[in-house]
Amino acid sequence: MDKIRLHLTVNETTVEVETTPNRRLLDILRDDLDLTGTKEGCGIGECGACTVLMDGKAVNACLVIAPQAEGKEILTVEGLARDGKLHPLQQAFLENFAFQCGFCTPGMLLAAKALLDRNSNPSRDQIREGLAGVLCRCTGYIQIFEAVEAAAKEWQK
Amino acid sequence: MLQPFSYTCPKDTEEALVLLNNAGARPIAGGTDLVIQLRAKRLPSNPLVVDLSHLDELHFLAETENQLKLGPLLTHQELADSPQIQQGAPLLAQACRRVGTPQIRERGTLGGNIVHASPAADTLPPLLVHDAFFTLQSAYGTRSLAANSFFRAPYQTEISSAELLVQVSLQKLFGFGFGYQRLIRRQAVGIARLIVAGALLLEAGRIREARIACGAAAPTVFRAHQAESWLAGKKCGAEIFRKAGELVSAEMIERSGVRWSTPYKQPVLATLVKRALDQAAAIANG
Ligand SMILES: Cc1cc2nc3c(=O)[nH]c(=O)nc-3n(C[C@H](O)[C@H](O)[C@H](O)COP(=O)(O)OP(=O)(O)OC[C@H]3O[C@@H](n4cnc5c(N)ncnc54)[C@H](O)[C@@H]3O)c2cc1C
Ligand code: FES
Ligand code: FES
Repeated sequence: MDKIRLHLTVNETTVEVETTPNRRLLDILRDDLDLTGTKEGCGIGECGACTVLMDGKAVNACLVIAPQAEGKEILTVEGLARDGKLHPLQQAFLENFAFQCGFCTPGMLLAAKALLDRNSNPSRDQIREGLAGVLCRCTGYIQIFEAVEAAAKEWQK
Repeated sequence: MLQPFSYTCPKDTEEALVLLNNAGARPIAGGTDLVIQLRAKRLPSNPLVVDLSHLDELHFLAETENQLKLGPLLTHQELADSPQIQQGAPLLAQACRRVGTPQIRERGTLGGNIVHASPAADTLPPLLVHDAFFTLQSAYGTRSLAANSFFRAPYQTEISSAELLVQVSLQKLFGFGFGYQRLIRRQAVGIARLIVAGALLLEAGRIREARIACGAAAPTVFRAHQAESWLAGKKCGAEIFRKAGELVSAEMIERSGVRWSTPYKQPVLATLVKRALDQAAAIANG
């Protein structure tokens, strides 16, 4: 298997990685770039723990083959906070007790960001739909919805 | 780890078609079906994965007076959001809105959904209602196939490994009302258990034309032609739609035989058909 060179922008930094093609964006992030905030749950697109933004859209990093990430802009949970200050979504998750074990949190945060980037004032139903691709086995979701609603209020300011 | 493969990123469709002449070559669009297969190491060893995802010429939405022409790379999200699709093919917009999760809808494409050919694929019943046809291209030429004769068996179609699906054409249906029903265990992430897409054209309270397509009910998606012709000329009404549902269930059993799931699917499919026709009639009556 030939190696390929990948060029991508991860959390606003350009990186170059050498890899075989048969790896996933998830493997590049976690194993090559040491960005282990992005989690692997199921590996088959069902749990959403691996959700990142690719060119602004929420995708399952376990379903993107590495070569398809060439030239793309990736945002992971590590890129949310700015200058030592939490992102409004992260702050809202903290204040609303929107996580327990935290395994789903990175994916939830990015799915929520994709949602709020599209619609800064979503209804409860739209939030449920927007987050339907990330499973949480701890919280029962209600606090997560409340956190997203709180963050949306901040967003609009 | 995914099974080993080589990767190539052709600059246009023409180059992609030349590459597909290699034994073991396999196109990839959004990858939401193919990566699952690569992970399970289910493809023949060392395939050549031919990336279509950046080919703008396969990513279009055009309209003529009587047709919608769709590029295979349109994603479920794009189709669900498109005012042209919401207007001209509302069944397809509704179907795409229900696919998987937001993440899957951003990556999964129309072409991938068609060629993967799961019996439960969500776009297929709407496509059959619109008498869609598929344009298939190889390095040697182009041909067109009706959606109705494209699906041979679960996950098997008429497309050859050297061909690409390059266009999906839908007939516009003027004056029809539409109804869509989908049954699933869990709303996000699940394989549809049954899908019904229906369309009705009414004239003075009578049915001029009925179209009913069912997914996940038989080995392949199908149009319920017996029920459709039985409905033609009849007056709209609950009893008629209930009877039509029974006829569609009978057609399902003709196609799939009696299985462990039949006692469940038979009444449920009939009910979904009735609901889809109720919906369609309400819309057609304006
Ligand atoms: C978690 C999850 C949930 C899902 N939920 C649903 C659902 O609710 N409903 C549903 O219908 N599907 C669902 N799917 C299946 C999948 O997302 C869809 O079928 C999607 O449309 C596939 O498109 P793709 O671009 O990702 O296909 P790919 O994986 O890129 O390709 C699929 C197949 O089509 C071939 N192919 C792709 N494009 C072309 C082309 N232009 N010409 C020739 N061959 C081509 C590929 O070689 C491959 O064999 C789900 C999948 C996952 C992982
Ligand atoms: S690990 Fe990607 S969706 Fe579960
Ligand atoms: S906080 Fe544990 S899975 Fe969501």
